Amino acid sequence: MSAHPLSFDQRVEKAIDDPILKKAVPFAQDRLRGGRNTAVEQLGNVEEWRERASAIRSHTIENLDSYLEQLANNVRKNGGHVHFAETAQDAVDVVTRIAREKNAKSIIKSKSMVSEEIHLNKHLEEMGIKVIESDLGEYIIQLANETPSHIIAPAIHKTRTEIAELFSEVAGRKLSEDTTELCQFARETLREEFLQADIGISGCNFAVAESGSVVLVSNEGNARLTTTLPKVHIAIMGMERLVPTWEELDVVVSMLTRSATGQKISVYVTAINSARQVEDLDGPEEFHLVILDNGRSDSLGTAYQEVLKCIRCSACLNVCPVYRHIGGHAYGGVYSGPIGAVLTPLLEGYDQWEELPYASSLCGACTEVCPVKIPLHDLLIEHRKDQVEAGRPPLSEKLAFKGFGFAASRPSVYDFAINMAHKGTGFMAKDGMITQGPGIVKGWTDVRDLPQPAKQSFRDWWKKEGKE
Amino acid sequence: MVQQEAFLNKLAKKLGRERRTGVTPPQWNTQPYAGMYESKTKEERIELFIQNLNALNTEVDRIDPKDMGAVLEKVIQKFNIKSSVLWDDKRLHDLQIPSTFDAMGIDHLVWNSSIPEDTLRETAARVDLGVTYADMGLAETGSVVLFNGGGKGRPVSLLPPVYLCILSEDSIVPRLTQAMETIQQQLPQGLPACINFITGPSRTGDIEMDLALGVHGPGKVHVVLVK
Repeated sequence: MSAHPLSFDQRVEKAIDDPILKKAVPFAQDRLRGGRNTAVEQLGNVEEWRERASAIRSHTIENLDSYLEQLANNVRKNGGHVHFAETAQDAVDVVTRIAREKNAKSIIKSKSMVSEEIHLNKHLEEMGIKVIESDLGEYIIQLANETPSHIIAPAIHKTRTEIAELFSEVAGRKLSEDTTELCQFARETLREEFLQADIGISGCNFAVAESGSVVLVSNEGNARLTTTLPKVHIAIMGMERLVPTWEELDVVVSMLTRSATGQKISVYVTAINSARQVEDLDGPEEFHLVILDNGRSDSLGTAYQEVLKCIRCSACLNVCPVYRHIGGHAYGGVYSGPIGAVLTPLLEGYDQWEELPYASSLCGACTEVCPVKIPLHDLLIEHRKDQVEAGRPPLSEKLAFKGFGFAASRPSVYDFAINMAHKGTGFMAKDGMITQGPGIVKGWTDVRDLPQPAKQSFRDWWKKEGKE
Repeated sequence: MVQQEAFLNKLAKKLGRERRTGVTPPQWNTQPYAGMYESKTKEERIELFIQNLNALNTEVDRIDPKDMGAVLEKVIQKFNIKSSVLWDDKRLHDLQIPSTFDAMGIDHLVWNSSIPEDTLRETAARVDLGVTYADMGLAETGSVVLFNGGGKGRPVSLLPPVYLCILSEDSIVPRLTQAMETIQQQLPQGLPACINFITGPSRTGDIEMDLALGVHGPGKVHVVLVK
């Protein structure tokens, strides 16, 4: 990937000075986080769910070769084509080859972070193919020529005024800023695109090894249209995104939708088990599954293996005090928030991304909220350690202080972080003492117990009571 | 295949062990969802199913089969329906839905192989209402489960702006778990090309987190539970 035009510092400064982000990001975060908390609490035994989801994901990753083989065999048995792609370029080559063979003029896409990761649109457009993003948020940022600023809400940084302007330009007439009118316009415009597209490209929320199925979760229905109308369907999956059987799918889908948007289930959960069958009168004639490594396998057998458990729910973004302040674009990579800070340096190396592990206050809220129990902030510390070992100490120390300085010098970040930590430590505490601390307190709790912070911090108490 | 072997061998090597094949998942002795809804009576499950859909802007009618005509009349009025596309499903024919549409003067098409595919697709993209029968309902979420294939075309529940789903109240199960079991039981015969779980109308919050219905799929959904 080419270097980001702005440095990390410049990106952060740009984001902090943006009055739109200042309002939009906390608003979206609060809504999504509130929904998630309610939906997860409804389960009653949330710890048991997280334990199980984590165990399922760990087991799958530990046996990835076996389950991928089973998946590939079953996809082929069902008449589909399987392509293993070691690098981003390999995946791009597979898709462009199919597009060329089919003489494709237009391609419709439903949301896929992996396709962002391999910059697929750019490559297809260079071939003269029209590529349309159909998820409303992705469509908006495609028109604006921007990248997603949130994993599941890619356009949260755009105001309705900006969206109305973008749509008006496509429409060739002035559209109002009314949500219903804007959505109706998108429905009609994109429906035309769907009906004439030659190929549909989707991501893959989960593949199911035992049946060779690709399962897609969506609220708008664009993933259904993408996998129903064009003659060819290509699904691109990160190699770790599978479960052994439908029994495990139950748990991970339940956790994904609850953690992502606070829905007990998304509007559509769609299982694609094959291309159209003999008696069918609809559906694609061809199904291709692209299984992508692109640096993921380098985490296997290392301290970072657990990052591959991620189900891309973005709950960690929605609790992160740093994300709250700087939004998604400042992270610079395709994946933002705590998961992006851990994942991006793994996929693309430290050279360009050495600051990301410092884009964190290490409050631990991300680790606490993760539905598959990835120790996110431990992994951020692991990164810092590895950077030191790789001979980058001066920068690391400078940034470590800066990281603390960044949080401490901005009361809102500091308050949010402290607040999250108070709620976040609840689940680790026994009898009011923390015996197994995460991240920065780990060194301490390895040898002694740390008193659990009071439910109300001194700063909160002082704000309410102290001034009277 | 050479590529596949190299890819998988690399994973085994990174994992620091020999290649594995034919691994099966552990037997999970307990399930986090165990008993979540199993203690509920059939009546309670139906209530929960209805409540969940009502919370998602979806009206649910519970009727005797003989009252199907009256409910159709209501749906036609409520959503101002002039045309429809339906699954070629015995259960819909048994409820006399096509013939009722005839009597009401609703222009309709049944999804079957006697009609050219292009016509089917154009019709589904043009009409006001799609009608299917669902194989299962999930109480915990208010979801309906569709096993598509043949005369049960996917575009019927997807392209028209209004979607009417009919199912038997006997098919309401506690949650996703029971649907997964049903799917697993079908594995030996092979699964249909597509299975859908649908829970209320199509929705988005991509414009300033403001909820909007029907951006791609049907924005209006009506569910009928038949006794």
